Amino acid sequence: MSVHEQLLNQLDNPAAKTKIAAEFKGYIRDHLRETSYAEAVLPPQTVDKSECQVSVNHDSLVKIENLEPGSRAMVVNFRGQPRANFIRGQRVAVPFLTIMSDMFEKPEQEFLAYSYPIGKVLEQNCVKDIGEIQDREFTIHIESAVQALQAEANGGAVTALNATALAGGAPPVEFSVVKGELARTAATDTGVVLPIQRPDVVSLMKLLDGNRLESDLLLMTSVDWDDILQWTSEDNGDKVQSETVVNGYKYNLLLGKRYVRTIKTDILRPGNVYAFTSPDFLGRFYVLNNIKFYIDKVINLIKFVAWKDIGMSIVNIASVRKLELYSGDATSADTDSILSQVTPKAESDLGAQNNRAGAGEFFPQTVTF
Amino acid sequence: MAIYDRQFEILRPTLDGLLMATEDVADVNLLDPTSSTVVPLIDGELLQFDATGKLVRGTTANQGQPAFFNVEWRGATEVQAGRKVTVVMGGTFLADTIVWAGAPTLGGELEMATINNARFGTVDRAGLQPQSSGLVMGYAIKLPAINGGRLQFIQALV
Repeated sequence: MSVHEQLLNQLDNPAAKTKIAAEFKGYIRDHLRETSYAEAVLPPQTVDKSECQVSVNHDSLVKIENLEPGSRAMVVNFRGQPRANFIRGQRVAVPFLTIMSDMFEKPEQEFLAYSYPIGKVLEQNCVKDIGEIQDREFTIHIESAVQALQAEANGGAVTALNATALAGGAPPVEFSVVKGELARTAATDTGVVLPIQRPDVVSLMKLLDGNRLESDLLLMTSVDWDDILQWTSEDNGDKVQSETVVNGYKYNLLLGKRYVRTIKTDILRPGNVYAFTSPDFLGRFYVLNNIKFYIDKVINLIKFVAWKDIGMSIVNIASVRKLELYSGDATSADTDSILSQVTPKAESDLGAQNNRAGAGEFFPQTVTF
Repeated sequence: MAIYDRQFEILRPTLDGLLMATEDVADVNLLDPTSSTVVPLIDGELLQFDATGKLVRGTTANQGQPAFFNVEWRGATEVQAGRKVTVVMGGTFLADTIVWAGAPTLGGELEMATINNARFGTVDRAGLQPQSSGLVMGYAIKLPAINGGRLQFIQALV
């Protein structure tokens, strides 16, 4: 019996039809959903309220984090004495907040109109949606961290960092943000993303390695990652070059560093590559309450929502650095008006739909009446 | 804790009976309890949406536009971390507030205005006063003289 005949036979079998529907997923998917990249950079730790502190002024929770105290040594003569060092350890408070999905609702009768478990699909997707907001918050914090150090290094003021400024007589200091080689030499200051070069990765790593820290992990979009496949034999060597042309880049390390790549290009915008130290130099990511679901039915209306309580903080802002693959200025000065292209989109604009079926764009087009 | 902190209380209904929305603020300094740049928000102040869809402190100049009551306590860390404020956007409710000024009358209409009173720190805040030309935000139900200095009102913007 041919495969085609087998399929036709199966379609006559009610039990097999259920299996076939499951294989076809029952619906056309719109876009890939990915786990949180923030959790890959800063592995979350579960905490409970006993580890948190409260305020006398409000009912929010924080967790106090201790920072490493400063110390030094010195040469002292036989008759000399050391400098006094009154011990003082710094602390910061890691605040907690809630990330919540939409409240989904539908009358139970209308669920019957769907041939696949739409509620279950939404339940699974909203967990990923919560992860996306986590990533958005994380991206905003790491960007704030690099820009704060960048401003400090440039006399305490936000200083435009673009190709024009770098080519000028008094270029800004690239302390925590560095431009890529192609971006640095671009003729105009724009948000156009240029391919990542091997020297760019090295320049990024040196921003950390030159400050008594060690770069441990790189974060970039898949779009920027794809440009690594354009590196030549000069960059890769013949062996890796011949492998990548067939299999792509399959190694876990890039220039000796771990990497995380993401398809969430509406959160981590293409052209932005970050380098991090190991997590114990960087910050903290706490989970106070992992994903919780609430589902209720009032008469015939079913509704459900999911939420998660997290605390996230970049405690040591010197432990993250940034590579920009575009020539324009991405500081808050927004000299070249590209900030909206290179910073995370608004929450309400995330996960925009790819399909246009709702607008009648699917083919072939038929009219049912 | 200043004496004017945590002095806005919704008496009826419970919060799940109201439409509560958490929205971005235009100026995050409003959420810093120790800000010297702007007067930090307290609960009971009125906020409005600006042209970018973010919340700003209400003003007398915009009395003709809807305004919404802030329910966040000053200094709440999740508010600072998330850079958002929760406001009541719908549903009738009965509440006590210290963010009022003027001489409200029993059953009298109330409007939003920029007011200044020692009760909430002698700084300009967006609160309630007897209505003259602005949008009616509510009606006085219990006067401060018999309510421990707090004006009890029923919210009318539905």
